Amino acid sequence: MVNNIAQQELAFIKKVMADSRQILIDDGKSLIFWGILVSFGLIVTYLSIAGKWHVTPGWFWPALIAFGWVYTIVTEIRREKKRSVKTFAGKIMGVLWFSIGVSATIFGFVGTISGAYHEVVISPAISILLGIGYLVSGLLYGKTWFALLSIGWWTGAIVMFLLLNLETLLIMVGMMVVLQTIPGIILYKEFKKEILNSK
Amino acid sequence: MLNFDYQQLDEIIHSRIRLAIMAVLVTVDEAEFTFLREKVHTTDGNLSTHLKKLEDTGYIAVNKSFENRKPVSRYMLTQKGKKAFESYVEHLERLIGK
Repeated sequence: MVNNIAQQELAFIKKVMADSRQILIDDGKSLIFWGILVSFGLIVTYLSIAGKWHVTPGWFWPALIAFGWVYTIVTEIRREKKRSVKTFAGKIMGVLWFSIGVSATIFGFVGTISGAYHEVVISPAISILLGIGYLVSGLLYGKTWFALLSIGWWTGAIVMFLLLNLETLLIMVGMMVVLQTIPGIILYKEFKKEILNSK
Repeated sequence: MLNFDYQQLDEIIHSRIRLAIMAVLVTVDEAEFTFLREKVHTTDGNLSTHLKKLEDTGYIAVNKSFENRKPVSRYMLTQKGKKAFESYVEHLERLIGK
């Protein structure tokens, strides 16, 4: 009798805790936004270097990334205010993607401006950073498929490092669409479904 | 229920709604009143009563503020609350011989 009641109580606690943990669901909007933004930038850069389009002023990438940062910071502040719950895992996710963003921005601008390396190194290096982000995020979301996308990012990085030519820009565009924008859309659909189910 | 050793069980936590509140708060850093109401599946009045009891015991803390001119109450587990919850779970596990 006592045993049964205790088991029921523990099962109840586990159920409530599991239910509360499900709140760590990303709406995928940031992934979609950055996927489209970076793909656009890469296509413009490719067309410009390949000589098919002669309009790539020096401020193109700084302006694009600055716009991305401003949009992300504004939307994150709004989202934070609306959030009805704060979790430790949520904090880790925020800090993780912020640090990846800062690292990618430094790598994309400071290194190339200083002349430490050629621009074609940027895409594979950023792919490595994204691989880390996807693996950790996937584990925190409890979504194995999302974590496995990191393999795609790292494999892509190896391929791009081996090629190190103009076409790596197009490979990066493909990765941004397949490994970032489409997963973002999948997360967004799952998020919408979850919201509908919780109402 | 009668076979429980009430001298060892924490009476404050040993109530379905308060137990649910504690179980929710142990998984998050802090949660708004509306979030707790949604997870615990109870009325505003009932939830307020149980939250007050937990707050008076020192198991939870509340942070009240205004956001867009609307009052917002955010609840979080205190260290005392965490310890009480852990020992409650340990006690249940001992009962089933884990």
